Amino acid sequence: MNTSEYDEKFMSLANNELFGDEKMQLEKEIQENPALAEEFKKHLLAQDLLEAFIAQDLKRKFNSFPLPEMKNETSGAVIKKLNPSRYKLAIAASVALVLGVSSYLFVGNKYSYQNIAEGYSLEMQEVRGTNLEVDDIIEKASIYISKNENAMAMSTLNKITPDDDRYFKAQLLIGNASYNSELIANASKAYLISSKSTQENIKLEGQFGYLLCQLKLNAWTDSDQNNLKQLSENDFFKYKDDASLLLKQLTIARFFN
Amino acid sequence: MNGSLETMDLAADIRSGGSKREQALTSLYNVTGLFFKIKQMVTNHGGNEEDARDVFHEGIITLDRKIRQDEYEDRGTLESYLFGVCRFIWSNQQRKNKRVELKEDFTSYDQSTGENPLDTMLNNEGQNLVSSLFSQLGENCSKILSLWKLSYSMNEIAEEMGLPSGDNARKHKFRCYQKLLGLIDNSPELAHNLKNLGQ
Repeated sequence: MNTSEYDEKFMSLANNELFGDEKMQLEKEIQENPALAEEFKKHLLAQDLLEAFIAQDLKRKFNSFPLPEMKNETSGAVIKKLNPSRYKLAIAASVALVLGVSSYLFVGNKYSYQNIAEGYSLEMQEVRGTNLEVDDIIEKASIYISKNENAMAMSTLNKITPDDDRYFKAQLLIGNASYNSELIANASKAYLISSKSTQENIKLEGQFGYLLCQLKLNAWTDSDQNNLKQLSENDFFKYKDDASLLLKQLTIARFFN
Repeated sequence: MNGSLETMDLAADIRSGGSKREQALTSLYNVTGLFFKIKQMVTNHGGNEEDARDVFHEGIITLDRKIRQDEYEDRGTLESYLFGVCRFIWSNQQRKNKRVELKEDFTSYDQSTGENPLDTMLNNEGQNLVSSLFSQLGENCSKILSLWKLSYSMNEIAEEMGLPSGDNARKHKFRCYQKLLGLIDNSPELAHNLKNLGQ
């Protein structure tokens, strides 16, 4: 191997990217050759330097954050600080479910499950967390949803296939667009898929959307009640308070259904 | 959804790197009551709010590194682990402060004794060295290499950096890495760290 080839191999070994025979062979060479061992030290140091740089970068970001217990800022403000270049995308990127408490009080059977679900409306919300995964399609669809052009949004989002890592986010948005269009069965299906996401915020919002659809479909079960309870107690869930309020309403509604 | 599942999810997200890691760290940062607990621990042991903030930040940074380097085991909750890390950081800091005070009497005391190169680079003086080195390396190279270190795929790096392809990103990464090695070669301050690596 020439120097450049060794550099490439050492780089991979130092970053734990080398496996099996190739790794063993190279480690053996390093053990047996003091010159190579000396050279390899530089690569280990390079890795430490990168770790130190990453730590500095993270510290700088944290220093720009408000302290958790004192902040009154929205999660969007946190995103703005963490990743300003993506903030604009983040704003446009998501539609989420929020509670409209008052409306259900003034309808016929105010304690029917469907009517409780009616109390929820869709509004533009900022997205919790970073949004590196948000791209043009998601952004475009979000804009459509904000303009109530839900069919356009759905048609745009349907281009995102399951092999794409933005699939679950797209399903969440499809859920929102369908819910807006009163296509509750479709919304329920999309929310259910998005609730399988490994990203906490998408997963929890998907679960919440699914539960709202269960109410709308008059298909509420004990298991749904338990899931809502868990969401209402989950500190990671952005709409924890909404879930908690809904749970209280449903506890009352049970006496009437 | 229970606590341990959330812990596993967050740890898995940090381990997988990329945008998931950033999201998980932000979630962890904002866990209700966590900073308050750490602040109580620090202020009950001679520190103030600013100390608590530093310890909290250091704690998350340490946790992030430990998870990425597979030094974290999924036992208990991530929050309790982070609290343990913060407690260790604060007691270590206090111990060091006491030793620095003693330094006036024992002039031969070397503060860096027993620390590995990464610890040295993470302390105040080391941070200046790291800043200076990466500013020589340049913003683009620093970013490419740190994205690589954070397990971004070559395609993701290409997307982040506006490069035409993953292959192109790979070439850039290698050139940047060689530049970093060149800077290490030319840095007398880092010679000391290289020696420590051999010990």
